[in-house]
Amino acid sequence: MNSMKIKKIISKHETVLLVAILLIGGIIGIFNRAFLSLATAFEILRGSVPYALMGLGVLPVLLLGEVDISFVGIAAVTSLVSHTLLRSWGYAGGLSAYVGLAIPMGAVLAVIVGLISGYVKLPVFAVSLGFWLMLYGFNLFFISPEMRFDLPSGLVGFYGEFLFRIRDPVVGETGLHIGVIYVLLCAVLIWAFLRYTVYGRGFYIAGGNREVALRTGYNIITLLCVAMAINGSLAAFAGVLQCAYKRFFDPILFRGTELFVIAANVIGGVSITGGRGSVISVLLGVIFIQLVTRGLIYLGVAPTWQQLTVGIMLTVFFVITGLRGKVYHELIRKLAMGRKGQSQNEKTR
Amino acid sequence: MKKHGNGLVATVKYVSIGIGSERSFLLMGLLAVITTIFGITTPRFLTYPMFNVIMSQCAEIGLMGLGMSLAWMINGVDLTVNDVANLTALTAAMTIRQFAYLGSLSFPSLLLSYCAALLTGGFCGAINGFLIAYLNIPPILATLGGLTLYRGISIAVTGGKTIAGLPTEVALIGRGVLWKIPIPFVILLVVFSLIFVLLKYTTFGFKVKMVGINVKAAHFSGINYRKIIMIIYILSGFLAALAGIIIMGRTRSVAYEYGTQVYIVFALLITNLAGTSAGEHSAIAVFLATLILQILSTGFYLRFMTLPGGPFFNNFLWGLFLVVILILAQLLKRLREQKSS
Repeated sequence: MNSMKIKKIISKHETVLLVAILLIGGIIGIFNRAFLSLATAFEILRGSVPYALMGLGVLPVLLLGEVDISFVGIAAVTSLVSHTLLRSWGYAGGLSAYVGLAIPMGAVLAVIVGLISGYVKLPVFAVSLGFWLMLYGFNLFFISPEMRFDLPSGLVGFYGEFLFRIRDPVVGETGLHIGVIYVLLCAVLIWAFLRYTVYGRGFYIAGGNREVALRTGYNIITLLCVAMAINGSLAAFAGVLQCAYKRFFDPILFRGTELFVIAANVIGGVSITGGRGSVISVLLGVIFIQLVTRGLIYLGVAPTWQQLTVGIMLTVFFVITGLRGKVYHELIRKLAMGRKGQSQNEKTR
Repeated sequence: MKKHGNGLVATVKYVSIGIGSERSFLLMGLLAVITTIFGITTPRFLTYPMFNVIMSQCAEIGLMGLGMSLAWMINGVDLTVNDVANLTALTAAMTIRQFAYLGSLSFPSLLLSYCAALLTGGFCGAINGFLIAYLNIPPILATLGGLTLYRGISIAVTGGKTIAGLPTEVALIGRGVLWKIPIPFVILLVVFSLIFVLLKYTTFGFKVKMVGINVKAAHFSGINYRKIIMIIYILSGFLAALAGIIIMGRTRSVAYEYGTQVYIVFALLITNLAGTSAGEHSAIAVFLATLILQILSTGFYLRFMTLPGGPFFNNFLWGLFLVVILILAQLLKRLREQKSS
């Protein structure tokens, strides 16, 4: 009984990924000693913050079996618009007003995407592609085509707000950035929402089998809108955090990184057809991608190879999943045959 | 509604069955309207040089849009069209440069480079098709992965820089003229006629239609649907490769980011304007949609060129346009279904 449990944990996707993360970290450490330090670990965690937030946001959407890419545009628009508004009002405080302004905006924008695709019965992806282009165009044309460096005084020190500090022989004084705590908080919230609320369970049901969800009494459009609201608000939060950390507000913030976020989710083990996936998978997937892309720099590979690396990882992952799915279906078919054809109509594809 | 009219109405209906559908007439009307609007509001719009520009530029988006619409027809989507085009252009450019370096840039070697580009396109399409048809990866995710991969290859190989200053010989395909018609447009016409015949008058076309309408039914009728899906994505890869060759010829340069902002949106727009849906595809409608989009694109460019940040405003408009067209196409489809039932 106990060994069964251990076997189950070992064969889990998340465990495999965790081992892979440690292994890759170790291998890079062998080639470059500077990599194996607390400072690097903190930097990887810090770099994962915006992607983890966006990944957590897009998780409910992926659970429903839809793909969204508009969240990066939402992050860019909400952060820049709230910055412009707050500066024009003479705001000098910290993060709170930014967050308070950006998150509702992000939620509304994302829900619009959800409503359109829900009521007109379009794939979220197609609508979000239009919004992606529209939002960046809006930002660049109507708000500001330039980066904005005029941070309010309350936000200036944000990049140095560490939970605790350490001294590193290479990079000097550094520490664990406070953003990591925000991610953990959001992760716990999303986890609890997905696990203990009726709507949270609904994402898994609707992603697994839409018909069952309908019969159970879920409204698919409402589910989609809730998922998009989470998606938009977390993306807005990620945008504000990233701008505050980088010390400038960027009209083309995150453009092109939507692929990395979705790749992180998929590699982390969120099912590509919907219905399966957890908060842990997202976090591990994001850290995995950050580790590999940053590790390559430590190995002396030019940053221009990052996208190719992610592309290869994603394709290899698709091949593995596809083959595994094939083996799985074969197994089911064999089992069904073993039961002397009594389950003729149970056969899945 | 009466099924058969008489006289003129019947004739028009008969002809319309022959060359396309109601959608094609709708698009022709739209084409006439926007051409008139731009002709009146924009000076120098209705001139030969301007038509030359439109004809030579619409080939790229037309070929990509055709690839996308073929994938759309079998309930798929090919998001890699633009990046396959850039990657194939890169392959061709590097082969041509190598030949030029060796001092043997001639007609056969140029042809060889183009063949290399086409092969690359077909190979990329084969990867997409394999992931989708044989490994059951959803098309959106599979082609998003492919997009990351192909763009990644382009970035890694070029180091993120533009390859410019290709020999003048490559411009023949991009800027050459055949009886006053730009060669890209000639290529576009030939390709569209071939696809039209392929889908309308061959068994293969019929099989594609079946797979698009109902995969399971097609499977039970003995159609190897996986092979059909695979071939469609390979075809889309070839079309993208052709677009890449034309882009390279027209700009005499290759950049990994050429068109990465709007070309996928354009391809989706063409597909939806043409009313492509599962099992339904009209090459004529796709062709007309391409013309409409190119005229709009050129017209918008002329109108907003002088505006500060004009290209950004164009992007905003394209995004909005895609959402509006998606909604309209879906509503039209639903209306037609209601009418027929």
